[in-house]
Amino acid sequence: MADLANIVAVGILLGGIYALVSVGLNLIFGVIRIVNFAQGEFVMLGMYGTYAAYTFLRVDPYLALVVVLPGLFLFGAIVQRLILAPLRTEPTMQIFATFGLLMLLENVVLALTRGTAYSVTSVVAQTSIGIGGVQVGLVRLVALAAATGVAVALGLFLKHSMLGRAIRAVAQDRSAARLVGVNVDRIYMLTFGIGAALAGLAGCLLTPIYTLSPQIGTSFILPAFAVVVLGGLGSVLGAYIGGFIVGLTEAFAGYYLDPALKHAVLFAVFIAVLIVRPSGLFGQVGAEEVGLRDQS
Amino acid sequence: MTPSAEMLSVENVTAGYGDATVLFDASFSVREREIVAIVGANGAGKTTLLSTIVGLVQARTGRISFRGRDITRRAAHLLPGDGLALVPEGGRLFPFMTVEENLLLGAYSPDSRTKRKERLQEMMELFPILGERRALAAGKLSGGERQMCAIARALMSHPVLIMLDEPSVGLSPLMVERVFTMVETLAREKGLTIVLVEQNVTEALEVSDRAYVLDHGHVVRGGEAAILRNDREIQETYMGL
Repeated sequence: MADLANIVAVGILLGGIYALVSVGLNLIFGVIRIVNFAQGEFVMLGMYGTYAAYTFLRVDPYLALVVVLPGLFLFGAIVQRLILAPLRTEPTMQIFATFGLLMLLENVVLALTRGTAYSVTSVVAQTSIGIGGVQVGLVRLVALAAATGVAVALGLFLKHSMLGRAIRAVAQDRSAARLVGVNVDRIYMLTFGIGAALAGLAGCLLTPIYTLSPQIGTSFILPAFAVVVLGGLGSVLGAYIGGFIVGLTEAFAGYYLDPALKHAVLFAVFIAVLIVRPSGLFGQVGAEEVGLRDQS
Repeated sequence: MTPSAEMLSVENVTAGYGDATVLFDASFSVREREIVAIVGANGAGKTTLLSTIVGLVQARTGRISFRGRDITRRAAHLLPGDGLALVPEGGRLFPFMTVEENLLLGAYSPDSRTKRKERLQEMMELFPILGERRALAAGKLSGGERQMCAIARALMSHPVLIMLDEPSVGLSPLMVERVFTMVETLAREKGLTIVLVEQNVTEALEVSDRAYVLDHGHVVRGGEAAILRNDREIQETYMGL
């Protein structure tokens, strides 16, 4: 019984991290219909940004958010404007471009750090608390809380603000959005910026948990793809719940089968869901057709 | 502006997609408070003409002006704020948003946004059915309701000129009648100027003041609707008489 509680706790905490990483990816996909392969590298940049603030400014890793969030937002908006917008009529090329960006960022950081692994510590990082007999690290609880906060806040923003409605309008029918007065190009920049900022947030909160390496982005992006497909492409709630499905699947498969098999099991589930319900467990049925419909 | 002042003028516009030219040297004009019908067969270039006016398709040559201002190269998203609204074919509502959200988005341009709550109320009064359906996803509306919602969404920006692309297509005869009545109400009671693109030539010529005939991308006829309605050639080609 204690085992089960432990596995569930591990799964949920891992799920929180995955959810945090995936929300931005899913927002970008839902609105711009680009699979951003470089999303993991945005998380990585957030981590290195946090490390830099921690080392040079001597601030707590969490405080680095003040710099990392706007930094990544700007970076994302610029990437969208300078790299993706010129390719707007060639969606396939946009995907290749994000893959190129992945390689570029990884190698630039590799060259800058010369492969040295960094890590940061904070008071929070060394604290763990017991919940029902299970010891959980405070940093992971913070990530879980942040993922929940982000999902709720983003959901409310998209649902109830005029800007949020405009973002959803662009996702559903961009010509019609133009006709009601939405500047679609600006929404794309803004959305990509928000997606990148959310990756930055994830990076910042994960810095005390993981050892930094230039390749760390790749280890986030694969589960994140599983998360968005399971949860539903383009759905914020789906990315959140999908995170837990992936986290729990990994935890259970790792314990009851074999730790080496956890990713194999995960992606078997991923493919099965894709076949049975292409719109994901929480996606809007038909949303995938709407987004890919021919739009002038 | 005097009552007969020119509101929209399209001069020698050529437009198309990629290598294909759809519209050739098209010219027409709309005066204030008029209902102008643009009729023609499927594929004649009617939708392209509207798309070019609102800037979703770029004119290759020619000039488009609205209330005396050149809008040929003006960005599409600025036109609702200028007072020009298009109701696209099929309505193009945002299917996963509620009726209310669709309407609110109609008032997205900065001048309208502050007045969106009052206008929403106005629309619910003008189209009581939308009031009943306000919390329903727009994708679940019937064809007639969808068309009403699309017209209401366009009205949310308080346009002076509203262009409707095939508003009667796919609707039951009863709904077709209602849509045309609504068009007349908007013009005669609300003082709106209307461009009505239709394949239903008989009905369109009945409600409009003037009309143009589009054929294979060329404007081939133009004049008083009453005269075109009694024209032998038009009756044979477009009205099945």
